[in-house]
Amino acid sequence: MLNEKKKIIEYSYDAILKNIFVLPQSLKECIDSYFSPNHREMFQKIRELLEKLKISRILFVGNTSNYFASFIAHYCLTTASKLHYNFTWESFEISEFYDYILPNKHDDGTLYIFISKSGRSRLLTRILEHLHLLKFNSKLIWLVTNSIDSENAKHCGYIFPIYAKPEAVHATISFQNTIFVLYLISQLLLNRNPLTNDNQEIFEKIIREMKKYQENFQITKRRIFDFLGYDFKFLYFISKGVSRSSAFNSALLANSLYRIFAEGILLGHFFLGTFKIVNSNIRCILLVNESLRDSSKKFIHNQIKLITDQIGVLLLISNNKSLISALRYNKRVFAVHFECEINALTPIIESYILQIILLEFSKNTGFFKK
Amino acid sequence: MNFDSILEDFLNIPKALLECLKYYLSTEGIEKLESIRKASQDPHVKRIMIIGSSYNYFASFIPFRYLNSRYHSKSKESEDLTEKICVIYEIDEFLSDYNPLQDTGDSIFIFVSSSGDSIQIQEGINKLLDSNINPKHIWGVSEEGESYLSLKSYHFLPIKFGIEEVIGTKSYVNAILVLYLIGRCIVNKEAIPPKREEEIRQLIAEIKFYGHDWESHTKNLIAFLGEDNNNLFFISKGASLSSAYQGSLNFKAYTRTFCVAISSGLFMHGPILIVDEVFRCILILGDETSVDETERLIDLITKKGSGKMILLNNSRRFSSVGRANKNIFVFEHTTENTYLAPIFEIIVLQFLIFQIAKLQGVIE
Repeated sequence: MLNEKKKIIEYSYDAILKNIFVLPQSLKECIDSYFSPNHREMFQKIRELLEKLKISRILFVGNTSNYFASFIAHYCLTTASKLHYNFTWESFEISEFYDYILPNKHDDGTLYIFISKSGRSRLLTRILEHLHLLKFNSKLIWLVTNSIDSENAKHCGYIFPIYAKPEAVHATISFQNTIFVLYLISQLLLNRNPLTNDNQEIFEKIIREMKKYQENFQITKRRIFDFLGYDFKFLYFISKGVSRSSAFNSALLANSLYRIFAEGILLGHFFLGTFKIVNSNIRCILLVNESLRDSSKKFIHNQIKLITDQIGVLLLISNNKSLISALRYNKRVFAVHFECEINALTPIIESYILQIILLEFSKNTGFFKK
Repeated sequence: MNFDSILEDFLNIPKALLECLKYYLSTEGIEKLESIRKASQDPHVKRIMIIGSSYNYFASFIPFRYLNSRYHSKSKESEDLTEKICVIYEIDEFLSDYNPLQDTGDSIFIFVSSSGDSIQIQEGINKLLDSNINPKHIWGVSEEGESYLSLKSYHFLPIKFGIEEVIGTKSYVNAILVLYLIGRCIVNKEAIPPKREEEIRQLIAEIKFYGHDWESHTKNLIAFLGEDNNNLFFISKGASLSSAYQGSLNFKAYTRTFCVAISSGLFMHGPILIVDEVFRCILILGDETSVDETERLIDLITKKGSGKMILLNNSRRFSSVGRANKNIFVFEHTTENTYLAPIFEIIVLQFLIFQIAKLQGVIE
């Protein structure tokens, strides 16, 4: 067991819950801001710039939740059937980037997209100063941040605000807003205009979906915990595709904020070694969305059966109607269904639901500040 | 599963590595490496995708670091490398996410598989062929034989591990060596110049030497760590992250212990908060980048948090920090090459894992 004093969570349950419930409004303000004339103009300028520049490589760099949010842009580029610009891309955790990837000579073919809520972390400052000294073109340095006025912003050609409202706990709100902004950026890099009326309607639906969950959360959470129980020691967030973003972020939050031992893992890896430790001490939450390819559809039912045979229960969070429908009579699977038309954005809703689940579990452990 | 046959696998690792090295120093091996060196100098080739499952995916961290760290001043090995970017995919994710229609002939796809016959590897190759990817851009790394991968690969590089009792014990380390050589060829370097050959031979000798003394080393490690931990974290950075992931996977599989593999950067920004006096971790360091940050991490875990740590590393500096701290057990090895260090690291971890599994009665 952990040292009891260390387990005390610095914030009260009510403060965190209140903060999480601010998220739909925070995201709405972010969406509305990006559909303003200012941002439309900025996006147009960037599209013109991308036509002129010869970018061969794009690097997304962020710490913790910002790194996990970058998986969304990575996913959008990887799954695209056509790339208008001929470049490669990769995501890096900022310490790894600083230690192993940071260039030591000038390079005019790489676009650096830094993601930092504060915009002023020590490593980011060092990196930007280093690139500035090497005379990198600032137009090739973009910053996704909540602090548009930070000192570091002056080294960056384009600033993408995330418009996150203040958060009591790191990444409870900013994570979802960052995902949204990185989705927009990925569309720009694919030479698509993300600020269309159709998209605006889809984004609004995501907000409505989150509010719907918020309204019903008392009932839903009770049903989830009646099903999962509280008597477990370890939590696995098993994911496929872009959902690894919410899985990895939730595991990090579980470990750091909620004092629950947890791991985010790819479905492909889960059955290789991890599955052998699965017992009644463990609960699994499966995150898969509608992008399941045909051959995966065949396997997923078998994989779900293997998990439920071993543990007895599985929580599934998904926008995949056919999968949930096929499992509706399976008493060992509790499915939380949500609507989201853009698969790349499903981590926004997944992580919202997961945060509430983690909070509820922690409440029961009694380690919250009174 | 029988411990003696597993042990035989482990003790044969130096032989398997030596066979692999000898092959790539032979005329046939040199020709194979030379042909991929030439093929990858095509200026249209910009991206190297390495696709593997489980430990083969982890082994691909080595060329991923090697090729992507090309400008970095801190790593002499990586200076002045050419502009090829390396992307790695876990096979399931590759099958689900990668859209081959976007390929413009600028990518080389390297599949890594011990058997070369897994269904997913076959699906991956077919996915590319069905999308009219240039067959010359499909390469394979696997054991020799008439596998699907060897037949479909335009360039095929054998890993020469022979037979193994436990999957991954020998093939993993040989895959690391072959992928490192491939990385060198891609950046247009001689694959095994005399200095590198000497380095690899020394590594093999060190592994052989460890094999003579494994029992006492492992006993000391277990005495410090305990054999019945509730959980264990594998923390690392750079190329050694491959050892953390592989160590964690094997630890889970064979000792039924909850484990997490995580980069030191991510650990510092979250899980550091769960460190207390029962916290146990293995910190694996294969280079001396960001010394201050690393020393801070060590202090936070072992002094502030009172957790215990095995420090598996190749640095005098880190070792001296660890030796002055009762909550740290230092294991220092002499493989300086950061891209080859993971080979030695996993040897130490494998002996530890299987000995604990034996003590727990998971294996006989």
